[in-house]
Amino acid sequence: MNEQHKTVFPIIAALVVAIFPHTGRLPLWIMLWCGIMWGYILLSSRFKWPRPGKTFRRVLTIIGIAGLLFTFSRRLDQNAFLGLLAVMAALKPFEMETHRDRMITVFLAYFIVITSLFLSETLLIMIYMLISVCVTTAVLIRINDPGSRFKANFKLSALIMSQAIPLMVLLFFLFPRIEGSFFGLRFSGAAKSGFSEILAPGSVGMLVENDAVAFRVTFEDEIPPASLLYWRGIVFSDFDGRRWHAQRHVQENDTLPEGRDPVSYTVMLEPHHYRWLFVLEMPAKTFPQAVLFSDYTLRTPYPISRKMRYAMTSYTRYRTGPENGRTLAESTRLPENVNPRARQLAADITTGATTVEEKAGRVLDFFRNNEFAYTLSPPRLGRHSVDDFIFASRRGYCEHYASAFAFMMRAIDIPARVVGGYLGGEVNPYADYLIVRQSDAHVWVEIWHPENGWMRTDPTAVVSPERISDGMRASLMPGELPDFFDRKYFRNLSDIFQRVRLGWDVVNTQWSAFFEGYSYDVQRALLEKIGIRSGALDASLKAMLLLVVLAGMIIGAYAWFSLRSPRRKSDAIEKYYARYCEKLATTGFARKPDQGPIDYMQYVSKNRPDLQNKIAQITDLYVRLRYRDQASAADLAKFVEKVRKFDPAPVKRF
Amino acid sequence: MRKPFGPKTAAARKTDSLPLILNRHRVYILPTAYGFLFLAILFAMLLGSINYNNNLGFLLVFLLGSITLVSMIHTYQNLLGIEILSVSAEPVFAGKTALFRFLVRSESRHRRAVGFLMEKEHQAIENISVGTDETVNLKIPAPFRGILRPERLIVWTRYPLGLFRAWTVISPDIVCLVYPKPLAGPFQSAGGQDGDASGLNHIKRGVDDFSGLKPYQPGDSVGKISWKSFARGLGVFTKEFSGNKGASVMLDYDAMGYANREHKLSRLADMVLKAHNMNAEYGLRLPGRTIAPDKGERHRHACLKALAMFDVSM
Repeated sequence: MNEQHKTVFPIIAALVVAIFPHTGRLPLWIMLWCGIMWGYILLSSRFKWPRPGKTFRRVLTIIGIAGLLFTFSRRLDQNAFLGLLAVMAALKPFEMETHRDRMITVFLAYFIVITSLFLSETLLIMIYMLISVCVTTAVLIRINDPGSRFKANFKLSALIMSQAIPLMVLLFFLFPRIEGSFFGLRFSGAAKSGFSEILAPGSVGMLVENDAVAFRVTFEDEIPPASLLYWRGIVFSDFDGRRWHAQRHVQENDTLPEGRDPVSYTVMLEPHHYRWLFVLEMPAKTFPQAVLFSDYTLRTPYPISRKMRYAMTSYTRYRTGPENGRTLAESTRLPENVNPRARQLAADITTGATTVEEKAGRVLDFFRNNEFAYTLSPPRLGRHSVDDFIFASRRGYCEHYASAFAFMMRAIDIPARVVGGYLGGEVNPYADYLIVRQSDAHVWVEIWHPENGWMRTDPTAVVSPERISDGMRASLMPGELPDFFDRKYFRNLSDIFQRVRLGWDVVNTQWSAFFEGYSYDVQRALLEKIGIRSGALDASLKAMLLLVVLAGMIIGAYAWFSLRSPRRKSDAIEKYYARYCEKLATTGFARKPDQGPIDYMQYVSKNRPDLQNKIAQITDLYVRLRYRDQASAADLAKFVEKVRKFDPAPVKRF
Repeated sequence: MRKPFGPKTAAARKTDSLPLILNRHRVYILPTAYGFLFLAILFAMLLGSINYNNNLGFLLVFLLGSITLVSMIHTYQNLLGIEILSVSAEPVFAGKTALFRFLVRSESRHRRAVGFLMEKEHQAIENISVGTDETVNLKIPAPFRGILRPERLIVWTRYPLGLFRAWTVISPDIVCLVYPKPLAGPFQSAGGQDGDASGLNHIKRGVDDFSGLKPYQPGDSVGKISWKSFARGLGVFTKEFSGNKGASVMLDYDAMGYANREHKLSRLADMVLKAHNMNAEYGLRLPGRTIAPDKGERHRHACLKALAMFDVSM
């Protein structure tokens, strides 16, 4: 009972630390459930309240599982698994009478720690992981030594971890990685972010308030001007009267656009759980993990569930190749009976214009000259959304302009489609790379020009040139973003906050570039650098061998330093005692292995009374040096001297 | 007839002479069941990390794996270098619990949660501070008279993480003398100077007659110390009783009216105790051995030892 009492609090602390990163992800009732159970256990050991019996515990378990089934009935994903772990972790501390229960509860805490790592891989999470492991290990020490102090537990835990880290690094780099996935399973439940296949009025507006990073880009040379930073991701070419859809079946393509001014850069894409890749318009090449489609977008074969790095080259001035007739026909298709006034308007204002440029210019002029406004909170639109926008509200966000413009182009038989992606990005001054956030989401239009191919036309640029040159924040009207940043006295604070955030982003980015990018390919490259190359299996075996040798060396070094002969100061004592025994052995009375020093003394004294005095002195000194505290350096000197002078003559025969 | 608690002969097994140091040759280490369970959990975590290609997952698995390996060294280190200096045990009566007192010591480091296990079930968990002699008490039931010689001492630890268990087996020549269990009954003596069965009454009478003081000698009963004179600062004296002189009894094995040897010995032990408590002078006659009448603690022990060892081969 006492042992239980001493370990209850630490074990619950370990569980709380382990489960903390999941706080926002677990259903509220599970959080409450954990809080109530743990609170009761802590209070019950404080105030000696009764612990629930076996039957009651079973009832609680059944209630918990029923709750889980109810909550996660629709699909059993990793959140359900996590919920199960949490429900178990809440109940497990009720039964901690035995050492076994306590050990298993701590193992459960370790297991919860790893689940938090599968949800995000940031530097912060790694640091938190190290802290959780330190706490959990300290608790494990506590369980195995209930009488100890917390401080001592933590000290030892930190010591063990610091000794383990070199081994961990070695394992991390050399443990053979495999290509791709083991079972082909992937986490499917993580929330998708960014663009979806459907572009409805307001769907980009929703992204604008999201500050999350979409991807980061480092350029080989200078960063191109903001007005050229159109990150192409997805093409919407079907319009149903209200929403734009990405085409289901786009053909793969192997003809790349031609162009000038190639820009080379590397994108670090955050996982968004869709398949599209974002590249600067227009891609000048492709890379192995990506497939190029005929609408000049790049996609991966699988949803992107991990951070992904890819090196790309794009032409900022380009001319796309010829387009097949079917695509062009599809790009002018509009549903019947929607937006009749907008159709009429398009026809009216372009009468007399002959070229594509001229027609497009007329429509853009219409937006420019009719007091259209750029706003994050446009009024709701009715069934004829384009009509409502053009003739009634005249307030909208980029998707309203792109949608209206593409609609009007199609209405006058110019092939047009909406392109989704990001525009611009924030340059991080500390490390010279570009951060593109969800709030930089943007849609624009491309129209077909018989000679030049697909040409980018951005109607938003006409209404709000600041959006293109200065980014989203500058283009909004006052009061459109949360108040906090607009108040004057928060400006400075906001500035500092911004700087800290950018600084942290540098650290995080450098780390993930180094750490998260480490995979099969990088490992192969590393192994080749240190001279291990050849077939895949062979290289793995050699890496494994190297790993075992190096790990053995580290462990061996630890063992050497900590398990050396237990007492060094006794080396001299042992040496001289051994010499004394050798000398005595010449008299015919060798020390038997099972004889302690005193036994040996008595044995020799019995047979050689003449030596009794000297032997007693030496043995006495030896025992004092070896087994007693009071022995001094003088004793050692005396011992050595006596052994040196000791000269037992062989037995005299009378 | 139950055989006396006979020790296996000491020569038949190899014993370790004390003092000894737990060195690398005698300390073994293996994972515990929890260690194997933990490795299984780590393996599951590794499969998960490989499957999701999660580098942080790899990092955690490798960290925990390395911690496991490092903890093995710590566990081994917790045992290595402990010195077992000596062991002693006071004689006990059969049916009571023998207390083995081990004196242990650690020169190099503090040891935590070191277990001392005898006869597989009797154990103590101790911390050993650096540089001081620590006493470890192990209680073992002593059911039968004779010599209690526990087979072996296991010193073990699974500190700090419980994933490994290091242990060593020591067979020190540790013995505890077990006196026969006293069996209450009438006081019978034979062959004493009185020669009759009423010796007990005779002794009783004698106890009452205070005759004088003599200087205290070690072995004299504490109950007979003259505290009055001690309090006056005259020194330590023992009260003498007139009945002591010349009134001695002989406790005879053959005079016991029991068929069972153990019964006889138990009765004799009881009478030795009674005679000792009454400060009588008594002797003991066993087949093949006679102890002359005497008194005092030393004599009491000699008599009880003779009873304990009767017909027991060393």
